Amino acid sequence: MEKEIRNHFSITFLNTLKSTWFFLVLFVFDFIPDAEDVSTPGGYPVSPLFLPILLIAAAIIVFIFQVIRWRKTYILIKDGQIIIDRRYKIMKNKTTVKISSISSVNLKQNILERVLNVYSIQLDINSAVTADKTDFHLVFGQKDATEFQKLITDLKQEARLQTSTANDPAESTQTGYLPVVSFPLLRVIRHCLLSISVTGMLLTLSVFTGVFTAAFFAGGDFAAEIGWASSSILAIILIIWQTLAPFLRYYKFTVIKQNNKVVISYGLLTKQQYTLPLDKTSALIIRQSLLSRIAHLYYGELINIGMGDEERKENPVFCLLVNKQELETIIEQVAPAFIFSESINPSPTPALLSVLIKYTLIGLPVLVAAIVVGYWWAGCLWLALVLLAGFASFKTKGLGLQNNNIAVTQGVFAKKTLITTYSRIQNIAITDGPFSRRFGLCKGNITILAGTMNKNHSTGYFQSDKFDHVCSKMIEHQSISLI
Amino acid sequence: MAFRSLNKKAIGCMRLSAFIGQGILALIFIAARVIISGTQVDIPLWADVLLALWGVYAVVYCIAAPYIRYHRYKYDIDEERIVVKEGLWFITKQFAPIERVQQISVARGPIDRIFGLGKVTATTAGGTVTIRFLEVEEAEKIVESLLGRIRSIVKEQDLRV
Repeated sequence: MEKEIRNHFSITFLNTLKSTWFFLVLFVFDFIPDAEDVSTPGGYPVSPLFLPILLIAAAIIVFIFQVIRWRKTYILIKDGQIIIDRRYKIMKNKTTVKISSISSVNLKQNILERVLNVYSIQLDINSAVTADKTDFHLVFGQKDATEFQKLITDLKQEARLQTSTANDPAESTQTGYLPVVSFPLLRVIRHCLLSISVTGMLLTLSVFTGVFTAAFFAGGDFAAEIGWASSSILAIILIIWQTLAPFLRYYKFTVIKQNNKVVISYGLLTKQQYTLPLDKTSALIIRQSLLSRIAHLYYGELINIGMGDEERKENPVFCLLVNKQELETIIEQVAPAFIFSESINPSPTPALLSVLIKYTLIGLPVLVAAIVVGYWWAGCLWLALVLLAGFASFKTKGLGLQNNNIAVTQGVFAKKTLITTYSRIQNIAITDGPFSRRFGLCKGNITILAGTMNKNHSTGYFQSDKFDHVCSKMIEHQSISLI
Repeated sequence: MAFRSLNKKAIGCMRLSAFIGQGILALIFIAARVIISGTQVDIPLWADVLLALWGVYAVVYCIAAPYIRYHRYKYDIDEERIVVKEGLWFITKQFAPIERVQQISVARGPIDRIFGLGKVTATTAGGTVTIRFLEVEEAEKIVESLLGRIRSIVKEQDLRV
């Protein structure tokens, strides 16, 4: 594709809307209530119009800028590189990216893009520096988008074959197209209901408590009853949104393995399709919310270099809530290098002392403040809750060591298990304190190549020889080139 | 592993850093105390007691902590790994295989320069391991040897490909 092309013209509307939606909201909330003043005798015909005119003028200016930007931006694929060339009269800006350094090429389509029949293409580069955002964002029509994605993917594959080191012995040698799993409607609904977080549940509970307290004290007051009714509606909307949003997001969740890539697609209002190269995968994360822990169900995420869902700050999910056996089967097909069959050992009992001391120090300032203001009972309740969280955290911590892999479990009410290979660990920091030292215990912090949220993973307190074992395995297993 | 200790100059450097750090905190606390006492707010006795206790802690910290930290600070660099052990209450051992190191740098802050010291930072794809309070000549020797080791590792990897 040595011909220069441009983004689809709809990018001008989409970017204008992105930049000016706030103006539109301001327009609606400012002008519309004052609209009747414009024609009312004795009203103020000029000032209510001033702000709307200003907002419309601002939107037009932004649109003109977007059109100029669209006209002056060219995209070209040449000599194994993608070149994005901006040729303004007053300045030129050329960005060149090697195709081999592209981590993933993903397609996305929100409602507006669906109406306009265009796709967003998101290119992520292999870089921990830019791992927290999408590096390039292009918009093409449907045919051009799929052709562009295929072209980049094929060129990446060619570049990879030329420089292949194949030093990951456990990696699957399967080729071809392999459907892995597809989640029907009921399973998506199950995932939505059981993956609600503790924070979400507490928020909903506090809203309901507020609503019913207000209702209780409203009496016969009309204004208070209106307040109570609107708060009830808000609480109901909150609950529906919490359960509905994941459903809208994960509708028609499908995972396909294609050669050495995993293709994950889902979405009702915003369709997303991630193409993830497995040789750029840093680790797997297996998660359980509080409810799914009770139901013994798990869901999984992949950590890929340079990649993050910039809207939700989340990793791509490769599996919705399933039981352990199903999860192991899916991992075997999707990412066999990360299979972990050994048991994960819990933190030894002496570690509880260090944990409780830490959480006591966390809860102490609030207890002291509560005593000072005269609410000692609230301070004690707070401290009890903090210590309960500390105990839950201690019970959740786990460390598993296999020949090639390590598994680290952490969390308080929700549980997160990181599985990675020793070759993917970049460095480790091992810490012991005045109390843990007496019992020969240390805690570790392992660092992998990933974005800010996923780079560092701390373990609980374990025997120091386990960490010596990790260090010697890191030396034994040379790093895999993930770039 | 044959851990190496720091040069004795490091104690002075640590002590000066501790004095500066605690001095800044003292200025903030005293300034807050003066400002609040100038208003109509009654400062409770326990707040003054806490401030005094913190003052005693700061003096003891500046005298004793550098000595303890100096004796606990150890580092080792061999053909395969970089290990740095340091800390006061909590002792942290930072470990990185040399094969993971992508970048080495030497830096000298204003306090380091007073004592003729510097720090070497080895950067991996995920983070950094820093050896601080090194004599300048020692730091440069370490950088040279690490760079040489990294070059030979890269050559070995290219041959394998």
